[in-house]
Amino acid sequence: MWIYAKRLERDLKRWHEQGWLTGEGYRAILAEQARSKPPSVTAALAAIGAVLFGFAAISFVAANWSEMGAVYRTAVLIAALWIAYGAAAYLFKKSLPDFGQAAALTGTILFGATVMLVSQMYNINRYEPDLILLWLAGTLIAGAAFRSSLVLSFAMGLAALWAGAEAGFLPQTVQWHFLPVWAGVAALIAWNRSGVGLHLSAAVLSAWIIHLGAFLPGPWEAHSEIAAIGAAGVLIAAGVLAAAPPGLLRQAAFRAIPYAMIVTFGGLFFILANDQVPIVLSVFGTAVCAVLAPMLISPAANPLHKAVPLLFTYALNIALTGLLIMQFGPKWNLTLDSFIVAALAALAVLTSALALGIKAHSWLIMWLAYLGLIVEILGLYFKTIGTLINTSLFFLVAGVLVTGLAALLIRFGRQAPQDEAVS
Amino acid sequence: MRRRALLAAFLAGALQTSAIGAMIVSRALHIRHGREIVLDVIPVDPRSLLRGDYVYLNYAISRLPASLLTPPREAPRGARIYVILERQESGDGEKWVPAGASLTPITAHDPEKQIVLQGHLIWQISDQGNEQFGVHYGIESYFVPENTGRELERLARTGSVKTAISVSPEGDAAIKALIVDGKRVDSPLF
Repeated sequence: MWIYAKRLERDLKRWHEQGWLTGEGYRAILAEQARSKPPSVTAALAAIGAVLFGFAAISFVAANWSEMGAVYRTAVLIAALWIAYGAAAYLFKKSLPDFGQAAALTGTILFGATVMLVSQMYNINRYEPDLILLWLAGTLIAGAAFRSSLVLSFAMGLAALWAGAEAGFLPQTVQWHFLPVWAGVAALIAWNRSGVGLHLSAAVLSAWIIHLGAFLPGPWEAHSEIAAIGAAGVLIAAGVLAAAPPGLLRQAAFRAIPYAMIVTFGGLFFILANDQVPIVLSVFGTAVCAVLAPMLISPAANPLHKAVPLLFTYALNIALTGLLIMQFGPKWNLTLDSFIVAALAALAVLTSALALGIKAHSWLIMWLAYLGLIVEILGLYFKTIGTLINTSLFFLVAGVLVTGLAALLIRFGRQAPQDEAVS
Repeated sequence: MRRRALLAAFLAGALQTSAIGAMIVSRALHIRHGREIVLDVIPVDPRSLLRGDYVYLNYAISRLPASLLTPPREAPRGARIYVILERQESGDGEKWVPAGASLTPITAHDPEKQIVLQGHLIWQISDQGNEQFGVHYGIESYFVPENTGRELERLARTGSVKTAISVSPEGDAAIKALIVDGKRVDSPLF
């Protein structure tokens, strides 16, 4: 895919220079191409930076910091929201779409933080999921206006958060009304032709299917059935992959495999959460990842190079299932030292997998690692939360560092061609 | 692209600011113009990850005897319910006590002494079996600065915490102020 994109860019430039393609057509095709291009490391860092800024704002709101009046806090957040959208417009204009999208995402998170602040200020006891739904609506408007894949993907995350909050308020009830909301957000993502967003939509739907295990037919009874459904999905998709001729069905089967795996492992997560199996899973999965990593970077050197990314994804899934169960499983109460070791191991495995995924140009690995990182960071946030104002400060500093790193990468990226030209 | 990005920024910012503005204005108007009543509370302090620490305010009128309910008495969880509160003078001042309830809209017979509150059933009720029913009025959370909820909870045990509630003509309730040991902490208007 990336090789094709590079070749297309080269050809377009040549056709434009030879006068076969108008300037407008050239720019339109490039813009279309940019929309379906996989994100770079810079885009990833900018997005993580935006999420960290957002966490800083939400923790700031949650701290209910009495040193500053609520009305001033609201004014600060609304001003920050406008600055973020202004910055997004400026960055898009300066042809820095990755940073533009990150700024737009910061704006939408600030909108959510402000909604929460206003409801806190007036003690609005409205059903919390309704507030998240309002946040989701605002996010969809921003995402559609900027045609931002990142913001629309975040909207899908909010849809998942909304479903989770609904489940918290109405326990032991299947959230069937999540499906139309999911379909609406997924339709907007499809309209924007965001491959990444569609993957995230599939992942969220998988999580929803996993959650059914808690309710069908009775509480905590159906996880084995959910795991079996996931495993059946893997087998069916693999069968289609082997038998179907090249085409849409085959592509769909290929893309369905990781999500069917996620459903399987999700079911297993709850079945295995009570005994020592997670330790075995994490060690085994990590070891297999470590063995496969060199093959992933230099695919031509081994005969199984086509299967390596898929095998690596299986192994990463196994390792991740084990590590997450140990840290956050319902019956697992690790001592603080053991918890820190498990958290560091998970972060190390996930960041290595992310780097390997980017290096090997594997969407599958990259997005599984991303998803894992988000789950891990959220888990750590919920588990280790200390004073909220300090947490807010922590996320703010982390956001500044990560965004700074992304800006540095952009700088180096722009210098690289000049250096090459000199040499 | 340049114009579209600017338009997108303006559109997203303006619509989102309007939504926040609408929340603020509707709440401020409600608090300013609604009728005020004072209720006793029993708080417990949980934490919301999005909105921070709050005390959950449990009211004497949150749990009512089924005998108060005018038939029909069958309704699913979440159904709207209307509760009539009546003012009674006592040694501690005035008290608002439940005088009736209905699953269909009702009006106060004596508007001077009575007020209607709207709420939602927090569990399903059936014609037979339920001796009591629970009601959620939308005034159950009071957000506080971090780590100050426990102190409120302690004060509540001694019976010195009350809330001043603003009730709109439609019966919607909003917290106007928290009264701790006779000291009133008003919610901001703007």
